[in-house]
Formats: sequence, C-alpha cells, structure tokens
Amino acid sequence: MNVFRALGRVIKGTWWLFVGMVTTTKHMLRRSITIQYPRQRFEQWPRFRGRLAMVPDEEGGHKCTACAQCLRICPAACITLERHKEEGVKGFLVDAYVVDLGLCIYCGLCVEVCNFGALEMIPEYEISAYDKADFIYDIPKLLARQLEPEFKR
Amino acid sequence: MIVHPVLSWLKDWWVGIVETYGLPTWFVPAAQMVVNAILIAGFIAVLVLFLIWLTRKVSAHIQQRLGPMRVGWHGCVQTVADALKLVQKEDTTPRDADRPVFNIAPFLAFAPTVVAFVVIPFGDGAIVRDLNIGVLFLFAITTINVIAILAGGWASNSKYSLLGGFRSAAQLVSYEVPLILSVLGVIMLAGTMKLGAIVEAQNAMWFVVYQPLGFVIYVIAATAEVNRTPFDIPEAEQELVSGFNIEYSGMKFAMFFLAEFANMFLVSAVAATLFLGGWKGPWLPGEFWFLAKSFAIVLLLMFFRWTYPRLRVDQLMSFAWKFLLPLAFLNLLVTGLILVLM
Amino acid sequence: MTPETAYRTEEFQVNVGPQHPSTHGVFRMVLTMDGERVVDCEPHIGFLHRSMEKMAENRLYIQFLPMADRIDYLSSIFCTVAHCEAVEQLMEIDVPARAKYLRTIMMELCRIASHSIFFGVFALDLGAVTPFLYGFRERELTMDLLEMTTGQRMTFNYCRFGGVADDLPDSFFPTVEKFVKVFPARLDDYDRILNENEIFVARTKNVGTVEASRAINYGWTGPNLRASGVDFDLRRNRPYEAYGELGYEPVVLQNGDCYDRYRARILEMRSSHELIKKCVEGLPEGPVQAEKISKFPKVPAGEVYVRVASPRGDYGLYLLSEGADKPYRYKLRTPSFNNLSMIREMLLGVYLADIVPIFGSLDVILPDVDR
Repeated sequence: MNVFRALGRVIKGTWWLFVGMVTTTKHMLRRSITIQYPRQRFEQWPRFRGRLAMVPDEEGGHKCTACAQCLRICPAACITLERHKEEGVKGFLVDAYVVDLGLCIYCGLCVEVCNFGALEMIPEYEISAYDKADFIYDIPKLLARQLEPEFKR
Repeated sequence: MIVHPVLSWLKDWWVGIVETYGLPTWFVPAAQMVVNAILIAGFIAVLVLFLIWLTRKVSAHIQQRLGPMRVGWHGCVQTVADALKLVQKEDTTPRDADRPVFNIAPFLAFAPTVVAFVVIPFGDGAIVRDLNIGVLFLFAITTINVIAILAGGWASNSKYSLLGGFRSAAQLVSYEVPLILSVLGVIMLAGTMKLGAIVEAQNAMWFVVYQPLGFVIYVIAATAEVNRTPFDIPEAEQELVSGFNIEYSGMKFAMFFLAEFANMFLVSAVAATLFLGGWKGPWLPGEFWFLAKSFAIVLLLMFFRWTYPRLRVDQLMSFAWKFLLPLAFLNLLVTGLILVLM
Repeated sequence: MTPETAYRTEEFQVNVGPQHPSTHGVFRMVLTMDGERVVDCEPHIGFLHRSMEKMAENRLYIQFLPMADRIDYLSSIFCTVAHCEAVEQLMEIDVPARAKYLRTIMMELCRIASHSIFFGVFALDLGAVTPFLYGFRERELTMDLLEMTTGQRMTFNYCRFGGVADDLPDSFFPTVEKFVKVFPARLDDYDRILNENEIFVARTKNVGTVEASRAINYGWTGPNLRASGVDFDLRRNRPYEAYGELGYEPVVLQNGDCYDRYRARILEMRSSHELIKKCVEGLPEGPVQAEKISKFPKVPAGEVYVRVASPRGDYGLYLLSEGADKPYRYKLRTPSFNNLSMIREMLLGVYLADIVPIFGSLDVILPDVDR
C-alpha cells in the first residue's frame, strides 16, 4: 500500500509541476503589460499629484495673496514666503515664494488649503536634477510647465 | 553535413600546402587542432551570448515583460554590451582572499567545459575527437567544475561564498551518481561509449523511447549538475546572496557566468546526443537537428528556472539519494533484464 | 587524539543584513551557525527609526496625516484611517456613510496591493522569480484604482477628519468593474503555480510552525494569528467603518506554518475582493465629508485607543490629547513589531535556507517595526 501511496504522490507532484509549467507557458503567449518607458508613457490620471506648481492667471502671473495658509499646513516646511505690506493695498504683497521640492512630500495639503486656487499639483514627475539647487523653485519656475521632457537616446 | 565537408576541404588544402612547400608532415594535424580549438571557442562564445539573450527574453515573456529592447533588434546585442561592460569593470580581489586560488578558480570552471565540447558530435563527422570512452571522458571532465566552485567559494574568504562552495560540492557529488547511472542504460543499449556510435545506434529509434525513465532522471540530475533552479542552492540568491561567486567581479565573474551557460548547453547537448538521436533527422542538415534538439532541452531548463522555487539543501540530498538513485538502479535493472532476456 | 578533537567542528557567525536582499528592508540578524543549522540568532532592529511618535507630538493633527502614510508604506491608508478615527472619536464627529464606504473600499484595495506584494516576495524568497512579477502585475491593478481616486500610488493622504479628501472619479466604476472581473482568474493562476507545487509545499509545510497559544502570547495579530488557528479579526469582532454593515467572515487556518500563513493571505485577497464587490454595489449616496470641520482642529482633551485591521495585523493608536492642536502623546502599536518579536525563537535550529521563508511569511515591513 505504501508503494501505491508513494506512487500516487509522485504522480500528483509531477502533475502539479506540469500545471505550473503550463501556466507560465500560457503567460508567455499573453501580451506584455510593461511599457518602454522614456518612449512610451502612461497617461496620468487627472488627480495625480506630481510636482507643485502655481496656477497662472489671465496675464500669466500668479494668484498668491500671501495669506501663508500653505506655510502653516505644510508638514515638511518646504515653502518659504517673503511678503510686505504697502500703503493703500489690502492684504500682503508677495516678494518671494520659494518651494524646496527636495523637501516636499507631495501630500497636496497646500493645494487643498489654498482659498484662492493659486496652487496646483501638475502631473509632472520627472524632476530629478544633478544639483540640489535645482530643486528650489521660485515663482517663474513654479509657473512654468514642461510636461514632455526631452530625453537623449 | 555542413561542417564535415568544410573541414575535409581545409584538410586537403593543408595537405596541398605541405606538399607544395615541402613542410613537415606534422603541420597538417597541428593546423587542424588550431582550427578546431578556434571553432569550439568561437562557438561557445557566440552560444553563450545567444543563450544569455535567450534567457532574458524567455524570462521576460514568461513574466509578461519585453526584456532588453534598446540595443539592436529586440535587444539582440544587449549581451555584447553587457560583456563589454564586464570587461571594463575593476577586477577586485578581497583583501583576505587566497589570491592564487581565487584567480585560478574562474578559469578552472571554464576550461573543463571547453574541453568537454571536444567529444560532442555536432553533426555527421563534425566531432573533434570521437573517443572510444567518450561518455566517460565527458562526465570525468565536467566534474572538475566542482573543484572550481569549491575553490572559488573557499578562496573568497567570505562565509556566504564558503557555504555556497560547500553546498555545491555536496550537491554535485550526489547528483553525479544518478546522472551517470541514468546514462548507463543508454550505454548498455548502444554497447559503446563512443558518442558518434551511440548516435548511429539510434538510427531506427531514439533511445528516449527505450529509456524514458533514464531520460527523466538524466534531465533532473543534469539540472542539478549545472546549478539551475530548482537545484540552484549553491548560488541561492535569497539566502546566500549569490553563493560562491559573491566576491568576484569583472572578467572573473564573467568566466563563471560563461561556464554556467556553456555547461547548461553542454548537458542539453549530451541529452540530445544520448537520448534524442543527436544529429539524426530528416531532410535538414544534421547540425541543424543537433542544435534544435539541444535548444529544446535548454528551453526546458529555462522554463524550470522561471517556474519553480528552490529546494532546501537537505531535501535536495534526500531527493538524490532516496528517490533518484533507486530509480536509476531500477532503470538499470530493467534495462539489463530486458537485454538479457531478449 | 580523541575523535572529538580530531573532528572538531566550529560554530561560526554569519551576519545577515541590513543589506541582505531577503530581509525586506533593513533588518539585521547575527546568526551563529553550525554548518547549515542556526544555533543562535540575534536580531537587530531600528535601522529605519524615524521617531514617528515624537514627530506626531510636534506637529498639527493635519500635518501628521501625510506622515502617517509613511509609517507602513505598503498599506499606508490604514495608518491614516486610524489617525482620522482617533481624532474623530475625540471630537465626536459623525462620518458620513459614503465616506465610510469609500474608506473601506480603499482599505481593501490597499490590502490586496499589500498581499500581492507579499505573494510575489514570498515566492521570490523561495527562489521562484516569476510569481514576483505576477504579484506586482496585480498590484498594479489596485494601484491604478487607488491612484485615480487619491492622486498617489503609495502615500495616498486620502482620509480627512470627518471623511475623505474627494469623491470617487467617474473613471473609477468601469475600472473597478474590470478589476473585480479579472482578479479571481489571476488568483487562480497563483494557485496553479504555487499552491500544490511539490517544491513549494516541501519548503513551507511544517516550517516555522507556531501554535495558537504561542502566537497569542507574543501578541501576534492579523493573518499570522489566523493561520495559527485563532479566529479573531477586527473587521468582524470590533467592526469599524463600513465593516459592520458588510458582514465579514475571516479566513482561519489551523497549522500555523509558513504554508498556512501564505494561504491565509491568498484567501484573504479573495475575501477582500468580495468585500470590494459588496462595497461598490452598496455604495450609499451623500456627502463624503462631514460639515464644518476645521483644517486645524483643536482636539478636546481625552484619550482614545483605535484599532485598525491592517494587512499585517492590528494597527493600534493611542492618542492622548490635552486640548491643544497637537497630540500630547501619540503611541503606536504596530503589528509588524509584535509579529517580528518571535523571530529568534522561530529561527533556532532551522536550516539557513529556512530563515528566508520564515522571515518572509511573517510579512513584516521594517518601517512599521522601527517607525
């Protein structure tokens, strides 16, 4: 009886090893699910939170009112704002608005807290650089868009 | 069919040269040797480049990827680029390594593989030396590989590589036994150890028909012999990181790699020769059939590699001694009985 | 010479990690080996310590929300759900039903993502490379759904106090339908490759067996505990979010070895898939955010302990508030830490090759251990 049980186990084991092979072979005939990255790209979902950017208004300027809510909520403290008051003007004027993307954790809380729609997270994710200084984004850089970066072959 | 006429034409040419210029007669066999050596070395180099590309492509498609795509058509020269990179790399030796052994080990791994190709019949007459102890020579020479791996593992002076080396020694010694026993059945049927004669003996029917069990045992043991999954415990990536070759870099690592892939083709070629009728086949030239059969076995090994997990070292041993060895003996016994009774 | 001195063998030490490929992060073990057998094991943790608790105590409640995602990055939504629930319980906010359902859907999707990684990595630990890619392929399906809803692939930052950040996008429903349809077939493929595979079974059956009493003593939770035969799952025993309405029967297996821990997770993926199906069908209408919640809340004084069934086990959060806008004490009870605590005892006497599946089957994640 033992012999039969052992034989049965051998047959069962071989069968399942065979089934495994069939499964992998079947996958070989399926289409590849990967893409050839720099040439092909995924279309990003509209909500995708890429890098932080400023929403340009009609004249191409920014909408920031220097209320500093984004500074208050930013968990990584990656935003610095310089502002001053001027006679006759309500609120603050922006001197400098600098985001250090090296510190940014892409949480999107600043976009959510902004009451003036001045900030957005654009689906731009290839922002690597050779120099840490390149991660410091000031207002012109925050307003600019480069959605299709070029790559060398 | 292709190689043999070319070689004999070359021989005639040399004989002509020797006669015209009055050169000594030993020049002809010497020139033949050089040509053979170049042919085998070149074949192995091209073969390994192709095999590595094939492995990557097969694995990629099994995993629903594309694999290398950038260098050449579907990445076909990717391996050349990788080889160039390996040549450029710094050749490091660990501080506490046993230098002479450490340096010799990769070449010791590669050399027997090249030598073993000497007795492989690639086609009708396309064999360097059809030794009358061909099979014996083959298994004797490929066993030297163990020493290389053990030496590499020992000399690296790293615990991981040491474990890998020892595992490999234990594994290869165990699997050598069922491997040779499984081949014995074929030798009994053919009545010779000459590989060319064994192929001739399969004129009517491939030996795999008479020796199905022997074939299965051979393939399993050969998988273990060349350290492929599910028997790749000497270089178990997950626990030993890379096993015996962990401290090697650059060209020395490439030598181990080259030996591994050449070995994989070697055992497949032997399987094709002993069990699948070697170069025999209708219409097309024999070299084609030989390569087709060998690559079929290579592909089988690759599918093993990309489907199965790895066995543990004790399970591996008990599988060899408690399962494969009795089966091999049984096969031998049945073959012998049938031969005697018929 | 006596035989003892003539054939003296020596124990030697092997340092596994922190840069070892199968310690799943930065875990270090100093193993004393006798040949291939482990004689002693000394685990070292703390390479990834980021002092999350102290960070929480120094930040506003909302500011810690994206940080909580990073405690256990493979199943990050559970940490934020716990954080939000703690704040909501102290502030006595009623979360709208739809928000609860959305959180549940996202949690279950995240659970599938986490378990698919486990599947792939566990197979890779045993030397099978292909399932690793398959696991990641299925993870991609869930990641897609999570990304289109939350905007990120790993650190979602989706929960808010009193609800969630945003409603589902329109593209969610066709995609989730496709996912629901295709996923069981993919799980069948997993089963075919590994489930009955002789080599896989030989490597995992009766390896690293932990009986129920020992598992409870060490504070194991989650699939590891249920694989040891303890029928306890927060989703049924202490339902939170929408689980009470959905009804859930946990997967309980008996042997408590590596194989059962693997099976428990695969079966849990199937039940998660069922839960997602139920959730999407019974998704109530309504707002996704409770009204009038300040972005910078001052949480009333009090203490609360919240438990969430993360893919690794019970994720517990003890929050003590003194009425300020920052927590006074923020204590985490992370499941991976407790699950890892038995590692030394489990590894004694096993083969070197068994370390990897035993460690892998616990499915710990090092940032969760060290926090």
